[in-house]
Amino acid sequence: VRRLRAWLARLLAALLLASWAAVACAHKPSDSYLSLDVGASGEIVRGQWDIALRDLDFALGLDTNHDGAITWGELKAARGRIADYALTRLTLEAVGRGDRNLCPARLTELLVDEHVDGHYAVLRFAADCALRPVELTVHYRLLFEVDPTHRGLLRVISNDHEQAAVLSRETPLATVNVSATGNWQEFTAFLGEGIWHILKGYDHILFLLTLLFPAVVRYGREGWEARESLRDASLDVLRVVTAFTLAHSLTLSLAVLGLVHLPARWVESAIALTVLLGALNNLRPVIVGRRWVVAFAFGLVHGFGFASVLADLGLHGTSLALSLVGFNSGVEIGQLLIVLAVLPLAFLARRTLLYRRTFMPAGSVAIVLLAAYWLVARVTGAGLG
Amino acid sequence: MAAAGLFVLAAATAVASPYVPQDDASILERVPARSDLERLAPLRAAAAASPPNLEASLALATAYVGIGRRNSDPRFIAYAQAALLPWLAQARPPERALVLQAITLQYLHRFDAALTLLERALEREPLDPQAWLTRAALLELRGDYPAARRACARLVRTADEFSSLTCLTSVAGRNGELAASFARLRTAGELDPRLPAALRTWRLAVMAEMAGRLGDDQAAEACLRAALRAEGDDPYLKAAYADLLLRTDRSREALALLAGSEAQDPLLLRLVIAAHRLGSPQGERWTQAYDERLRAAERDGDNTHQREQAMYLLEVRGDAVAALVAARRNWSVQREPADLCIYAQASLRAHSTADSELIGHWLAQTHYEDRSCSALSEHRAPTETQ
Repeated sequence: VRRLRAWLARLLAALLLASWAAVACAHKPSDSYLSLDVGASGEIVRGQWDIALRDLDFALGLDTNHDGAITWGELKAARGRIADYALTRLTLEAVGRGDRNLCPARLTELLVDEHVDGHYAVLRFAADCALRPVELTVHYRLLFEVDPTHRGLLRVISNDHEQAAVLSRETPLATVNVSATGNWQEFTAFLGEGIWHILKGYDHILFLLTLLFPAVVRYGREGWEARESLRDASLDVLRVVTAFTLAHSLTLSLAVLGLVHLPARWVESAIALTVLLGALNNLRPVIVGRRWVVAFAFGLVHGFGFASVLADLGLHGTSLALSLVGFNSGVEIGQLLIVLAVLPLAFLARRTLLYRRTFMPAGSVAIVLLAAYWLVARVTGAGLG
Repeated sequence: MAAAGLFVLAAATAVASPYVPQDDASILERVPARSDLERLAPLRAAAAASPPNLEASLALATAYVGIGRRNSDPRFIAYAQAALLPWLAQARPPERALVLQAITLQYLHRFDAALTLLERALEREPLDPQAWLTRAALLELRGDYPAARRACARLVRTADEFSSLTCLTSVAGRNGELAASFARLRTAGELDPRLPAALRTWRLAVMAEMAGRLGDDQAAEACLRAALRAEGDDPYLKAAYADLLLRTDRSREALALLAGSEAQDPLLLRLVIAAHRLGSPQGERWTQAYDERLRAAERDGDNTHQREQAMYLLEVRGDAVAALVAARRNWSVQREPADLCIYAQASLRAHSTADSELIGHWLAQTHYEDRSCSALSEHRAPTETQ
């Protein structure tokens, strides 16, 4: 009984009353905040790791002068120890295409930040994976040897996309997909962008229309006259659209690959000019026979326009070819949709006076006016219509 | 999904950007004195040795719980758990490790898990006084007074007379025998000077609670002051004394008592309430800090703050409905005097007859008394007339 009593007395110092516990432990448990940025810098993963000073003090003893307070001076002096302690408890492994590498991390900066439960050391580090990760595996082991309830709140940022995970002693591993998306998804995403771009870009539609309207007619002595066969009309459309497509694919590729670069304002202005000239040619034809040459020449200009859209969508190394093909295919599909919608109607209406004497000139005048307005606005920078 | 949501909030709470302090001497954090931890070095070494030493592990865990309590830092509760971990992983964990683990769980408000471990320990060692005392405290906290009394009774044979008396009077004082229990504990005051200081502090804390509920604030204050003289930095005693000061409109004294205690959430809450009542300029900063910590706790799914949250919502935010929700949820977990009082206040202010009936029923069933909680008298009347 004596021994039991001694044991009881010792423990009582740790307090028994449940109500004591109820008040005593209202405080945030131990968490660290680990954020990893993959992408912008390619093979280097940039990290920021916020670790509570209380945690580091318990593990490493930061209070070197034993006064119950951690100063900035004491923290700075422990920089090397902190880097060793923390970075050896974090393993980053990058999986690239067909290869995997460990990414050794190096402390680049030691800062301080305040969180709700006190001050944290902020470790900024760079981890070199020596390959561009498609997948990143994080193995987290900080503090688990002393605090089994500790958690690492992980955030991985890649391509403006954010993923989160909670790492604990029970689940210390997280594998995060850091490629933008899957290849097929990426391709279809850009395909959609291509279709969308041509359908909502009025200047491309109008330019196509200036090429399509005259395809069902021919310019004779009495002005526009109806073509006899659908085959002739279709062949004309095919020549024109193919020339346009080849031309804009060429300049789009050149621009995206960085071989040619033109200022966006010039390109946009030139596109407006192509629409203007195309419509004028329908009013007072100068080039009648070889319209595909016009389509090709002006298509070169439109290709640069597509390139700037693609640049805005954001492209990175490995996925570049895929996105380029996807986007361009989308543009072609959008174009085809317009042709399929317009050609049959124009063909059916080709003989009517309304089409040849009213619609062609009036429509062309309207397009000329609109294109002229765009041209002025774009050249002066008054706003890109 | 939950993790993603968690991060949105985490990002919102960490608005300030990292910086390099200007001055090497600027103090970033207060930590437990290094000497406290260094004194434990031999224990740590012994606990980590192979084969591991049970006595060292238990002593280490006990010391960590003590540091955690004094600093209101649950990290040390986790360190205690880490020290116990190798023993609990065994097929047949030593029963004292089970009891200590139950105590750490109690600090984390995992009362059910703690009771389960105690049961396992008592099956193995039916005479363990620590297990019975902890079990009694948990059952009392849960409001299961008959079972708590039975647990206290086991202490008569296993521990010492004084522990069992304190345990029994504490429970009986909440179970219809308030005045008599207080008198019994007071006359037992002619203490054996050889009793450990912690036992005296425990007695004083129980007496202070009883005196307050009897409406004798003077006696309650005397007990708390005496207890604080022995354990000046104990957060529980400080909170209890601050509550008494706030209850008796002495907010200024509460501010003085708690000066420099902002780091401890429950004490920060009392500072917020005192400053709010006084319209003190510091109030805003404290309120903001408390608000942030509350949101961090919510984000972590930490529900150990429900009582404080209800107090904060009612007293500072003036949101009776939200306070009632928190108080009701808290009442389903713990049933200490403060838990009942905040529940009664919130249901009164939110005009909830359903909650009032529930409280009235509880009062009738347990014969619980508390004159310091004016909201309770409002609940008693309607149920007794029914």
